[in-house]
Amino acid sequence: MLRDGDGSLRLQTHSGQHMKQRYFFFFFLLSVPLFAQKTTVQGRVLDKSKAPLIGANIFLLDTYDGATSDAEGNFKFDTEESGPQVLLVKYLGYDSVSQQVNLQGGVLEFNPVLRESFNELKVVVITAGSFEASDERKVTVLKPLDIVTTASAGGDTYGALKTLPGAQVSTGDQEGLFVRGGSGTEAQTFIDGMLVRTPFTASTPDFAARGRFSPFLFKGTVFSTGGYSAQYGQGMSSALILDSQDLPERSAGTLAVSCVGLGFGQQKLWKEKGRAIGGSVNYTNLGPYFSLIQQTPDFTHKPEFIGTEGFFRQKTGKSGLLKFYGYYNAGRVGFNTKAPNDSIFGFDVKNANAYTNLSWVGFLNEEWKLNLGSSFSHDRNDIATSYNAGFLNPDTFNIQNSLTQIRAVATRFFGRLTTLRFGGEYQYATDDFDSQRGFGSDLRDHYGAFFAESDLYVTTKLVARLGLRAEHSSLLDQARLSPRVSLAYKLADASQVSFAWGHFYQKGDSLMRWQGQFGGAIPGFQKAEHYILNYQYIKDDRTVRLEGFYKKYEDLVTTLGTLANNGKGYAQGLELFYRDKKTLKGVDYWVSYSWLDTKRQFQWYPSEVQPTFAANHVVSLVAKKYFSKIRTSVGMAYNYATGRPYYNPNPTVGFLTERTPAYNNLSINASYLTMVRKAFTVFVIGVTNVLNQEQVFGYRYSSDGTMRTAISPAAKQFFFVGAFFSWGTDRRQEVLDNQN
Amino acid sequence: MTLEKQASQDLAYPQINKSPNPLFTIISIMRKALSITALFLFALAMQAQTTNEKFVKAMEKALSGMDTLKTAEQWLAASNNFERIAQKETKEWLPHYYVAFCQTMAFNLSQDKTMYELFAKRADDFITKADALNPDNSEIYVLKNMVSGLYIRINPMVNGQKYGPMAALQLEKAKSLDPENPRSFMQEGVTLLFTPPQWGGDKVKAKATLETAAAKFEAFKPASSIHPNWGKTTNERFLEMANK
Repeated sequence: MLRDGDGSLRLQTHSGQHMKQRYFFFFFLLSVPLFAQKTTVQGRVLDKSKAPLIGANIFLLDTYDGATSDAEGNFKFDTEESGPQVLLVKYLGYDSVSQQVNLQGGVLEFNPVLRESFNELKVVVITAGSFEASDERKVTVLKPLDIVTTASAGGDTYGALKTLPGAQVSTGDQEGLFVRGGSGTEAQTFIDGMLVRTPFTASTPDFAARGRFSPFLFKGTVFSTGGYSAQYGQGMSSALILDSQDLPERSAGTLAVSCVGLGFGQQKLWKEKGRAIGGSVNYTNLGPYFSLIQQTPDFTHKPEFIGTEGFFRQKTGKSGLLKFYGYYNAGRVGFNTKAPNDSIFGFDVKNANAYTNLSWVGFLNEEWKLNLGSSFSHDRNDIATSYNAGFLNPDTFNIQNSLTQIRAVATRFFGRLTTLRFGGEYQYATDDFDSQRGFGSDLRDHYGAFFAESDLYVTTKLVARLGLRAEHSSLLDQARLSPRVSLAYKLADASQVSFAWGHFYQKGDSLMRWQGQFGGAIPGFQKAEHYILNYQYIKDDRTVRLEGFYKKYEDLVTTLGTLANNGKGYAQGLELFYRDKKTLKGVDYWVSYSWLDTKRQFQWYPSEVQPTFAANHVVSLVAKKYFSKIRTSVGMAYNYATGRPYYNPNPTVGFLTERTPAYNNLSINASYLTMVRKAFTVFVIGVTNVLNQEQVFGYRYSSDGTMRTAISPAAKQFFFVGAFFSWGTDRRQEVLDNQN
Repeated sequence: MTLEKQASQDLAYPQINKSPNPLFTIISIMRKALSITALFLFALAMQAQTTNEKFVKAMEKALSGMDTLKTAEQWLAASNNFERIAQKETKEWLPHYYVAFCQTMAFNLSQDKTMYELFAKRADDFITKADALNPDNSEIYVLKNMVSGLYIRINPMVNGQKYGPMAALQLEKAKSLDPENPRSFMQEGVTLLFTPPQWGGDKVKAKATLETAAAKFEAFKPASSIHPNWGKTTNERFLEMANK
């Protein structure tokens, strides 16, 4: 005890000791928790239809406290947290729910209702008149791999599409897809939104042309048999909408060796930079193959093509992607074939084709997406024909065409489903035709179009697509407005109905070259009006599709007398598609049946009749089975079509009343997967027309009509043997890093 | 005591009310400051200790009973427990690892095909997060290999080309990061056991690998009570199958 100066007593502590006491109390306050109050959180988790959600996670944000909902959707947990907190509910496949709460002890009731997340399996899609093959979307009928492995297709996209309902399968003598009574020119191909003028290889008479572009170039394919979007135009029957690949998975080299040629490619991926570059060179020569396997025509120059392709892809900003694709191909084919009355019909064509496509897609923000594109193509054919009899004389032709286009589409998203798209395109098309015998034509067209379209999701079960397209052509000096309407309604979990209607206009194409010859004005737009009704059921690896359609044709270009739009016609039919990946173990098959009733008067037809490219009944059966033990996939395709009308000049026979024999083609193929050194390898063999059946596409008559020869494939059967190698060229660590 | 005696006692002690030496003051203030700081730090350490304990306790609780889980629903409930911990402990790799693990187990037991993609994606997202928090971790690479396997099972034709080589590289990395990790040997053995011979499967090699895994399971000591330590009984089951 000490005395202060004033005499009062003061408790003395050793230096800081009384400080320690004060702070000890403070420390005590810090470390010992305040007296805790317990709150019990409980409730029931339901979905919109009042069904309980089992296994949902309900918890307080930033704490461990929570519980999982039981079989009735009930949950209960205790927490010692207090005051304002956030309650969260999470459930896989559903949107999370959060709720601000104030915990003050006692019981807190919480009954959240969860909404299903956007799951494309559950949302209705417009399917009328449309077959989609995509790896990205789940509800598609086909995958791109299906296209490549169809036995009768020979790796050609168009060959595979012929086995789908709506497409004619027995048009092996002509170029193009013949869809629902429409001619080959009525089906247009689009790559990344832009029209491709010459998607087929050099067109030679009696030869089925192949698509120029490998199916592996595309990540998505939509084959529309009618009623397609207002974004596309100038195809009265069909649109083949192809989306090119984005960045590849890895750097790789590829080598293709086959009985008809070689190909070599390289691609490099810089994943961190979001960039990829690639190129390939291909050489095709059917000479060696033709020496082994006799062909009917006598080839003066066996088909030979050399081509190169290149691509460049670069990510821009956070969500943008710039893509460039370039293609060049030059080839030559020459042959002599027997004409009626033993004369010779000779044909020789040299072709050079260049195609480039530059596109950019980006998201300006969450709500706006922009697609910009431009494309340039040039195609040149130097043709020499000899026909030593009748009215056709030997001649040489030079046919060149080019297409330059630009396109822009803006998409506005309203929520996750409803969208509004609008845009425009401009195409400058040139067509130059020169023949040695003096006839020539030079056509130039400035074509412009604007379109607007909206996908309105009234609910996730009902969607309406309303579109309008306005087109103008300077060559035709005409403008047209096309309304396009589609509706789809989801009946149940796995089934839906869809309807489509629209107007589709198309220029007269190559027929317009004859304007100088025939006199008259350049013919105006031809028109087709579509009505399509579709029912689709997809569940558990089984697909059923039933579709009915009616098409009305007007203003078709006719060449009788003068060039005019005096043609008209109709096409109607019913199609059935059934695909099953489940019933037969390991077997994936589809059956497609098309019934077509069509008549038209167009070109040189004197009356309205069934056209030469239409068969009334077409059936395709495609099946594949993968034997995992021997790593081999075996496939078959059987195509059948009733006879096609052909022209018999004899006056006693009605116009196009006779039919060729029915078409039968059984093809098989097999692929064997293995690894050769470090390369992923596929060996492929295939044979078309295994049963060696006669196939007659039509007849060619002598000028007096007394003799005829059948128009048949160059060889009854086509054998194919090939090997494809693909090896990664990454260092291993890059492959590991690429997974993220 | 007389007044005189009290006065002499007072005088015996040093004078306190003399004005103190400045150096003394500074030193005494510093001592006080240090002890306050020490007390604060002590208190803080106590808090941290408590928090870390809470984390470990919660993890142990979530891990208990995992051996008995039998249905996909049970594995998803376990996954929820870990996910709650993960959303709070955003710097800890273990809860993220276990969410991915539970999702993988749920996939294996689930009959609902439409959910497969969701499980695989969730497992993938969480193991990627775990990897970002603790790179070059053998256990994480074993789980990455299992997740690649899920993708392959969803669609062998489409995903096999991408995920097949990836899975092999992930397993190789897991083995090289920790040669004593029994789980990487178990995964290798299981893959060899169930792959058809033409694709590289080998029942004899599978048996040998699973036996190596069994030995490593015996010897394995996890880094803590909450580090991965699963798979011993599963390995025994697969070894039985390999012996048939």
